[in-house]
Amino acid sequence: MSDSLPDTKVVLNDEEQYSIWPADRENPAGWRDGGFTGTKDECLAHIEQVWTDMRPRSLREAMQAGGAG
Amino acid sequence: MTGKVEDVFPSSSGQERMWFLARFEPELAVYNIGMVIPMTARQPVDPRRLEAAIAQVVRRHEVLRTVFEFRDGQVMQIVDGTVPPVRLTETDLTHLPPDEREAELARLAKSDGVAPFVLDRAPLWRLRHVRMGEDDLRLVCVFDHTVFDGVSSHIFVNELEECYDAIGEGREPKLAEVPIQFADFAVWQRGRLTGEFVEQELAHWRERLAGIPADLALPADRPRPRSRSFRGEMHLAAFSPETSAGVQRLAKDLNSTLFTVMLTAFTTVLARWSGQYDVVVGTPVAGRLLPETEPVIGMFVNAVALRSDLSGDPTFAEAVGRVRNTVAEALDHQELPFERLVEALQPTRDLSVPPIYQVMFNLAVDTNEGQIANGTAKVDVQLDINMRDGRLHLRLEYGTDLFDRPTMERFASCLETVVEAAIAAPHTPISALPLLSPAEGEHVLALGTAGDLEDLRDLRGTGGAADAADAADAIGDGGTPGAEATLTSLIEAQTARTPDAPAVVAGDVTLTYAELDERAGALAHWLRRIGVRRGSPVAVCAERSAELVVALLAVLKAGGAYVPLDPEYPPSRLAFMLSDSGARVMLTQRHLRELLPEGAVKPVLLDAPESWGPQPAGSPPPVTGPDDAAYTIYTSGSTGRPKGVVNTHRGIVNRLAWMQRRFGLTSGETVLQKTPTSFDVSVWEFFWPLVTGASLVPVRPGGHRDPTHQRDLIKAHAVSTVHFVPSMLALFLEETGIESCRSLRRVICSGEELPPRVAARFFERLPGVELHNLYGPTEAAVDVTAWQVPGESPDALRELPTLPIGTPMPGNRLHVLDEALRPLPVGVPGHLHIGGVQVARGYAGRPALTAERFVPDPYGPPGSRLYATGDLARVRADGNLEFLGRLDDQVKVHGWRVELGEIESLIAEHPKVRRAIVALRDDAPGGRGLVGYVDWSGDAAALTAEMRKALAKKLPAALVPQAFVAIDDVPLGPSGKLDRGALPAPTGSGRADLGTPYVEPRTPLEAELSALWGELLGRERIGADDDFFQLGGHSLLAVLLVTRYRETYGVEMPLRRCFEATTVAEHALVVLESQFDGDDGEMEALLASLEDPAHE
Repeated sequence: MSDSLPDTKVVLNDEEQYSIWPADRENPAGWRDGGFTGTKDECLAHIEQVWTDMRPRSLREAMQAGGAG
Repeated sequence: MTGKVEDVFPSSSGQERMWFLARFEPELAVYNIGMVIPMTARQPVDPRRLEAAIAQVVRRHEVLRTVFEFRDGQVMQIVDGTVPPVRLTETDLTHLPPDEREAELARLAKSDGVAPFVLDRAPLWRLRHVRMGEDDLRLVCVFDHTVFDGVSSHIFVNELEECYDAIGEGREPKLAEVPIQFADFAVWQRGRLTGEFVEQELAHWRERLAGIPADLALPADRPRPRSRSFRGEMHLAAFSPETSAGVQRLAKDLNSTLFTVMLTAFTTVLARWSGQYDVVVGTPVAGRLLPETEPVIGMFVNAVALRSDLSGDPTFAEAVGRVRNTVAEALDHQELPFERLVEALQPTRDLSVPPIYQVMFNLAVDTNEGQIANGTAKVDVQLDINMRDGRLHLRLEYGTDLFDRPTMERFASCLETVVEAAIAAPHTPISALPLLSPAEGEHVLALGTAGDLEDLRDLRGTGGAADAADAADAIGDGGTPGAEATLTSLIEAQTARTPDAPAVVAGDVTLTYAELDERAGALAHWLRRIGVRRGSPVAVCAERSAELVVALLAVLKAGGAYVPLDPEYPPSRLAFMLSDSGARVMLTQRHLRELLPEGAVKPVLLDAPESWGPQPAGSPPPVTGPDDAAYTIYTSGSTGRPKGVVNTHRGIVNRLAWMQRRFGLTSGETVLQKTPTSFDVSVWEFFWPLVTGASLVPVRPGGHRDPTHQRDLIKAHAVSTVHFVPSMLALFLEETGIESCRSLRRVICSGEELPPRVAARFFERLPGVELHNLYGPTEAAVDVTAWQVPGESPDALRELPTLPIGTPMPGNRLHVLDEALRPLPVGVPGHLHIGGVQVARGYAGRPALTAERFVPDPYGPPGSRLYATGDLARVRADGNLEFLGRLDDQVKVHGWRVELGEIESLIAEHPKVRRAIVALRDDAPGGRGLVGYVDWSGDAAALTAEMRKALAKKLPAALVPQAFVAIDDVPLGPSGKLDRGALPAPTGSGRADLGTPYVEPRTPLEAELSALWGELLGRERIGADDDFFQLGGHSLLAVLLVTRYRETYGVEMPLRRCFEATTVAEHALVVLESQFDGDDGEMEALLASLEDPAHE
């Protein structure tokens, strides 16, 4: 992934953990597009904004169900 | 010589080089050219007629009657005017069983091929006929390269056969008169290579080869030896008929040639293996541009450098275009003899590295069959290709100094894979061409994949009332045995099994498992009371003590994740971590309170339990599961602020289960707890004993730096297990009386590279104790690989270049990947990635950084992530990993790509060096270059001289630091890691670093030279006895110096003299001598070219 080309996309997995991936490559199994494409830095900046709760989804849900937190 | 008719000519430039090489390496026959001529069409061959035919060929070609002598400072060719009778050595193999004869022939041919010629003794060829059967006589020919080359062998065979036939038929051979002799060419060439023409050619090549890498540095099986042995082997392979046809078709489609397409593929593989996309490949050229040279035997061949720039990720087709231009341009400038180029470009090059290029490529028009392998290699790797019988045949000749056969087999396989992919899709970027076939890719991925998760039933612990039912309760009953276990559940289960066993023994304080559980339970209740919830970060800032253990366990029991704050850190750093972590509660000790800011954080004093208020008995009900955070440890990245790594119970529990299965810690054993909490090794030091019924003994505050205290503690508490970072282990091993640590069973190393010499010393001092080398980043639950160091032979260990970090622990995968996250071949360095259960959750509060470093894992279960370590590593064929340093630690100095850590460890091998740091600085004396910072126990004045002497044996001159600075303390950043920015500037223009008195120049010439040196070295007041290299001079500055002498004094000071005579006074003498004695200067210049055992 280049630093200056918009060749990167935001991806996330079922645990709603975010990462980046080359825009022109198929996502690895278990990852879906996060609806944002840009340079690597733009993608990371986007993630900085949207990934507000970094706990894995299953843990988050278990904690909410357990009433703890 | 009386009566002998001889003609004397100067030798050609190439012959001169060969002559010097023969003087330099008299035992080597690198440049013998051998072949076996089958004479198939002429069997049965008459040996006498063959001898007569050979004599006729020798009569035709003076060069076959030539020897060399050094006369009047010059290498001369001496041509014998008479033709001595030819006698073949005869060998009869018919007494052997027929199936053994070929092998014996090959052995004979090889033994003829490896014997060097003595260049003043005629003839410079040897011939043997070997009788393989009644009707099968073969001719084994070996020629010295000074009189022969590849084209010569065809001339020789053709003429020999024609003469043989002619004698048989009683006629004159139908061979045209030889128009010129080789000596004529040599004289002509000497004339041609003067004046403007040679200057133009040199100027072209200087420009074309400016800034080439000093060493392509293909990943090798062994480091380069200080001087080359020239020993080699060859690997033969052939492409399938389909691929062979495909590559020819591809050449046609791209409007190119087989040569260019295969050179492009070769260059691509070289670039991908080495990571350098500026690649120089040598190729031989016939050197017979004049038509009259075509039928002449002799050494005409030359070599040209093909420098291709594959940067910017061109497609394969584009790369072919670039390479085609490179080739065309090189052929336009092919007349300059390669040795002249070497003299001009790399006069002081290191003898260990072939100059200018380290690999060669050659398209052999005729077959290579019959060529004798004589166990040598001229360069690191030479690829000869040859299309015959519809298949592309490869012959890889490689230096065995560097490579083993399997590596070259993999290289050949990569080449075929790249070629196949290029045939299928020539417009693919070269970075996207696969190096590995799918099967090879799966194999290398499998090498880095350990088995399933650890079976947590291993963590049952021992002793007391342990039974399977208890353990099963403790570790849950998920899909994987124990899948629901947490640190807390495992410790509580162990407490139930061994309540009265000692858990922590700290000075006078001993806590049993039950007592520890009770105190931690009480504190956990209080923590809940003051707001700690499931997942809350809780800061712990305490000295090593029983209280610290209580604190950590209490945080976990309360459902929180502990955030260790090392009391030794600077307060500003602690304040940052405290605020960054979001902790609202901090467990600390009375005397540490003032270290930390009050305010948002509620302090809980561990040494004042009365302040906690009354608590219910027992522990609060557990709320955490395996995916909850257990601890957040801060690490400092290469740049920016420290970041907190969040690790889960599942990860650390898997790590502990590995350790228990591997070592089987038992109740009654003791583990030393010496690592600061801020370093994740402490996590297993705390919890491994506590989940197995063993006990832990904390060293006193500060005691992690005190080998004497550690030794005493090990003896006093019968400690069986200790962790050391290797640099501390090295200190411990020099402590007196450590032999008496008889309880010691195993030492675990991690955190730094384990130097082989430290491991060797270990087994000398502590025979019978196990030594384990572990690797892992904080981002993957402490460690993910392990290797037990074999202790049988410390001396053998000491000779190893590096020790591996081992294979992955179960539940983990370690992959060495390229930039596109594809697996790299065995042996090829790449970016180490970690996948599996121990991968951390991420960086607390740092989503972008987490997303960047924890990337989608294409090889793991759906949705899993790989942690990109930033470490450079490679997989060995046996599956063990080698750590090669940090990716961002690689720097380029004077054309060399170098790992600073490598030079640091070489410096650290000196017995007087406690620690060394090497930095690349712009303010090094003599300009941008390396500076060595040395914690030095020797005489400060001797530092530079001793270091130079020691390193000269181990490093190319260009990599010896230009200056050395003695330091007492290594500047550490707040995290305890080295702070390179805080290193002092190397001493500038003063002479404090020299440690020698200033001696006034005694003659006008000395004064001039010292002024000139001062100008070049950026120093003032250089004394007559000052040493060029101590002043910061290096090989490139030496070149400048010699140039200035030439311009100023009209003398040619051979560069090697700069390394022998190193003071101003000595240089003044050399300059004077050269001015007065031209002949000697010439001799010296000749001797200087001894440094260039060039190759073709």
